[in-house]
Amino acid sequence: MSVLFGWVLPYIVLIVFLGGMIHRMLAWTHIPVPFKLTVFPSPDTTCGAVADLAKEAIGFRSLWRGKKGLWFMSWLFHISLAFIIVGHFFGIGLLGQQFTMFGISAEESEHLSALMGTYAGVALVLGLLMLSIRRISSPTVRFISNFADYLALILLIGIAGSGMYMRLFAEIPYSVVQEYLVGLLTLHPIAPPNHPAFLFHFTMVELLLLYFPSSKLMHSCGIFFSRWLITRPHERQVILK
Amino acid sequence: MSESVRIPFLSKDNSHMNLSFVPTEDRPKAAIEILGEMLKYKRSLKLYLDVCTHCGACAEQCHSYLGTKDPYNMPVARVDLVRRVYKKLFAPGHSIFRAWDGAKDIDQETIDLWYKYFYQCNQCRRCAVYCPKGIDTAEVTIAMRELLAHLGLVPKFHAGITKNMKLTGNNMGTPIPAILDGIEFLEEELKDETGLDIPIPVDKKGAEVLFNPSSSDLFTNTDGMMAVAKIFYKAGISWTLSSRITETANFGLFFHEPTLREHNRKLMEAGKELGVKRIVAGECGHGWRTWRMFTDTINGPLPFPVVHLFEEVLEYMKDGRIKFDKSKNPEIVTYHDPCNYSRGGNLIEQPREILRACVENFIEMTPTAQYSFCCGGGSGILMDEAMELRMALGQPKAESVRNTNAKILCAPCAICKAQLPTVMTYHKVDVTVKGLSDLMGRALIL
Repeated sequence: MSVLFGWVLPYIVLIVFLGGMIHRMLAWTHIPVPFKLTVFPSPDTTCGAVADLAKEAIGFRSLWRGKKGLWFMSWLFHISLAFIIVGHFFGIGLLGQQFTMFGISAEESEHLSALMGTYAGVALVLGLLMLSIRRISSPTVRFISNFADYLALILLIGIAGSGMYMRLFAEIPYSVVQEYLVGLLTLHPIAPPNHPAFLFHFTMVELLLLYFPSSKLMHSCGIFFSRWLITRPHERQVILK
Repeated sequence: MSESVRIPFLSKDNSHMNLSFVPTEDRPKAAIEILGEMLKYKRSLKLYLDVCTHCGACAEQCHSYLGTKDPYNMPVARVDLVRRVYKKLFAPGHSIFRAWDGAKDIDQETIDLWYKYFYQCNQCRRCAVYCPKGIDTAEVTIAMRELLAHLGLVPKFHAGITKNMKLTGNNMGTPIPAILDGIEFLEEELKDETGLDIPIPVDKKGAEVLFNPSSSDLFTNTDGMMAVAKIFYKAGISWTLSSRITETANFGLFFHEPTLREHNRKLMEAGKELGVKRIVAGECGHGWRTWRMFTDTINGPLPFPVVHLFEEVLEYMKDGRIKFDKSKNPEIVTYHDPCNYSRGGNLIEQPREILRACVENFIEMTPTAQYSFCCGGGSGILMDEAMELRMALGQPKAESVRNTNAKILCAPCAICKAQLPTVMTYHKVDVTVKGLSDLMGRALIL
């Protein structure tokens, strides 16, 4: 089992995930946009449009305009997810020593890393649970939900839940995980840490990434394409006087 | 076919658009072919079918859903009617994944549902303002109506209007001699009202401005047309109408791109023939969007600009050529943003600036500007047969207007002017609907 999930699957996942994602984005860029679809008021310059896009991607401005409750759940979930992904790179990559560059001791850095990870994890789980409850409890949202919408939530809750379990009850040293991942990346795979929570967590991530390019999760890339259609600066060829 | 799905108001003759009827049993197959073609040249369509996450942020923002309470009128559910076919036949990924996404085969009932629900969308684009992915359901509606048109499914109303346009150069189907008669009558009215010889020139070569009114201005909203004549007269601008085309409203935008192109080309040719310096578009929402946003694509860089009447009037105001007397409009006035002015065509501040200059009491309604609700008549849902639907679609707007306690509702768009009076009466809101030109005409100091 651990040979399949720990050694073979990661490479397949990486190829499917990256290849699929790039393929889908290229497919979008290859289709023409015959008409200008700007929704006004819109920025006049490319810089303005990029700033607009950034505000949207970071602050979820459109959701803020509507129901604030949905904005809060969605924003909490996405922002904590972003924190956690970055945290994984730094935490595992630098073994929790990333904050020593701000002049604190190695021990304090590890502690801070763990603390931030815990907070972000709690926020992530909270966000996910709120979004799930909304999807199940509201008749209108249930009406528009497919199995895929629930599946994405289930996978993410599984990942976040197992991550929090490791964080709170069964901590695995960063170094063990780092060793395993470095092995994978340098094409000298070693056995994954033999730890049920870790294996579950890692497998769920693999499943999610496998599913990613075929799913609605592609909105993470698509949002930039679709928003660009309506925010890109509109140069009017004819100016008054 | 289920009982609830009926296809009403279908046109029996679309030959003027070169559209033929596809027999009922062949429709699903033909629809798949057309959809496949569209996905190759409309990035918006493919993106919008791909990136939706079913978050439901659009539902509460759609006046169509708020007014009818029909779950398929949530923008997301409306688009899902296509998305499920897209997922089945065109989407990338394994068929199991696509099945989880709600993939479903296309059948006759699907097409009936398309017809029913894409003709309950006003293409107002309010959902695009609230959708975190910026999905503009109007784009999907336009594409799907085009697909339906190729199957021969066009409402009687829309087919009639495009036929009128083709035959007479205006949507009302008024022949040119009648138009000239009407204009003569308006000139006499102007003489009676002001004592001045204010001309409404037609086909005057070498005029500075070609004014392209909404054809309803010539017959039903004549105050607006006369106001425009007065403004040009006072500003000392040489202007003209064209007998070739007296229509800003371009119904092609709603369901048939070739008609959109032809209409646009007609106006460009009229402008070139008369040798004008610029074209000024009259009060019409979606017409303005086609001139403002689509002309460059359809007819390339133009030899002259297309500007809106409000932009033109603002220039006159800044130059001091015309002045308004506010006291002529003492009533409380509120302003309805036609969807294709605010979201569609960047006319948000201009009409307000003019309003503040020519009325004493101007108050905003909530929501307003780019957040404003549609009147419920957008995209040509103006047929008498659909009165019940129209009143439901107009309900959110009626509530916005009611809360202002205004006496005059300024709605500078021919479709809004046709839709709002009935909506306001039906929902018992005591307000008079007027165009901005009417108010300008009343306040203009001659």
